[in-house]
This record gives sequence, C-alpha cells and structure tokens, in this order.
Amino acid sequence: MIPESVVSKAKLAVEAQWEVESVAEGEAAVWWARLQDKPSADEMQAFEEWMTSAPTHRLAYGRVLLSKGIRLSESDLARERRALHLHGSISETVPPRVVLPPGGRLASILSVFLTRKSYKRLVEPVIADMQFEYTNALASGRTRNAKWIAVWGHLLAVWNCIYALLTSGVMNLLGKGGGG
Amino acid sequence: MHFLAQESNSATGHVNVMGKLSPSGKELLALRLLRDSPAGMYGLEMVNASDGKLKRGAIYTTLAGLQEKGFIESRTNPKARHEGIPRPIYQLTALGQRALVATEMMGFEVAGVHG
Repeated sequence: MIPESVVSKAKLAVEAQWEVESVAEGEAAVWWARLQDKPSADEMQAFEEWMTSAPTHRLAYGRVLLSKGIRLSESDLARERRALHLHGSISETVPPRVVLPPGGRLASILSVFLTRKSYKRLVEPVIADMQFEYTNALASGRTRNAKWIAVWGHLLAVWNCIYALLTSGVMNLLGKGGGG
Repeated sequence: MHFLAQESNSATGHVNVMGKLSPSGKELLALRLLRDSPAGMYGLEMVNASDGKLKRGAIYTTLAGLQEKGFIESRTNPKARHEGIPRPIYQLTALGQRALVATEMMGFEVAGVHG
C-alpha cells in the first residue's frame, strides 16, 4: 500500500506539471496567433527566446501546430521558424530533402571507361558546367530550364566519352597509343 | 618534336613552323581568348566570348587538345562556391604564349578562324 502522503505528493507534482503545460500551451497559442501577421525581428527574437527557455514551450508549440494540422519534426520546426522570419507565414510544405546536383552517377559510370586524364579533361568539366548551370537555374526558379540543362549535360558528357574512346581507338590503330 | 621544327604543306603552300604542335583554328581562337584573360577562363566563358565560333559541344575536346600539347593548363578555384564538381579554369602556359606569338608572327593562315 502506497502511503497517502506519497500519493498526494505525486498528484500535486502531476497537477503542477499539467498546469505548467497548460500555461505553456496557452502561451504557445498566443505566439501562434502573433506570428500569423508578419512578425518583426524583435518579435521573432522574443519567440526564439520563449521557445528555448523551457522544453515544455517547444512541446506546447508543437502541439499547437499539430492542432492546426501541421506536423513538424525538429528540423522542420527550425525551418518553419526561419520561414516565418523570412516570409511571415508558416507554409505547410513537404519536409526538406537533400537535392544533389545531377551527373554524379553518370560521372562515376563514365570514369570506368576512360583513363583518369581523359575523364578529367573531357567528361568532368562538362558535368561540372552542367551542375553549375543546373543549380543556378534552380536558384532562379527556372526549373524547366534546369531539367533541359541536365538532359543536355548528360548527352554532352556521354558524347565526349564516346569521342575520347573513338580517338583513342584510332590512335591505337595508328600505333600511336591513345589516351582512352 | 620541337615546337619550332618546320614542316611544309605542299597542298596549301603554307609553312607549318610548329609541326604537329601547331594549333588548329579553334585552338588558336581559344589561345587568343586565354591570352586576353590572364586570370583564366571557364570553358563556358570561352564559348560565350567567342561569338559562336567555339561551340559548347566541342569546347572541351579543343581544350583537351591544347592541354595535351602543353599550351594551356587547368586549375580549380578553391573559393568558388557551388554544389558538385569544381569547374576548371583554363590558363595559358608559357609554351602556349610562345606558340601563339610564333603563329601570329609567321602569319600562317588557319582555315576558318581569325579575329
């Protein structure tokens, strides 16, 4: 049998925790409402301080977001806070994912067929240019253009690989030892 | 073969002062572009600067030929900030400068490219 004093102490602790959490949830709801209108930098600073001041605040804010139908992970929360700061609104976007520039796989495949020198001179620069132009196009919002750049870049890299193989083949036939 | 070794071309009547090292038309254009840009150029910059004479489909084969002859060298810019493979910057070597000067002094015609 658990002594009455221990039970009452536990009850008090749980109630205290509930109170803390309900207060935090109330505050979180207030913060949510405040952040819907483009928040100022000071407001964002205050929000950040409130969020980091207690773990219950983070949990409470997460619960408020959940109640609004926004499901966020820790990294999403950080991203959304940045989005709030930059754009003044929370977007229900898909979680961020790492986007690698195209051509990595092609580069590793083509490097099998060519000598290191030919690969460095004929294939790698083409893929580097493609990646540079691709990321620039994406950064400026030209997604359609970026796709075309990727397609042409791949074709050009393959063509250069074929060229290197053909020239090395011809040189070998002539007995001059091509690079390949 | 020494780059100043002479070869005569009976078909055109031109004297090729540099033998097999003599730059072709596109190579000559690329060398001129690189001479005008001592800091070096990216391949795509050369395509843009050549007013369509150098095609992006063939620029790296041209540059590879020049690298093979030792007329240019490539390096990557460690400060360049972009994702993926670093882009090479091409620069004229001392041999490339001498070859370009020799070609221009001899004034031998190379079909297709002059500027």
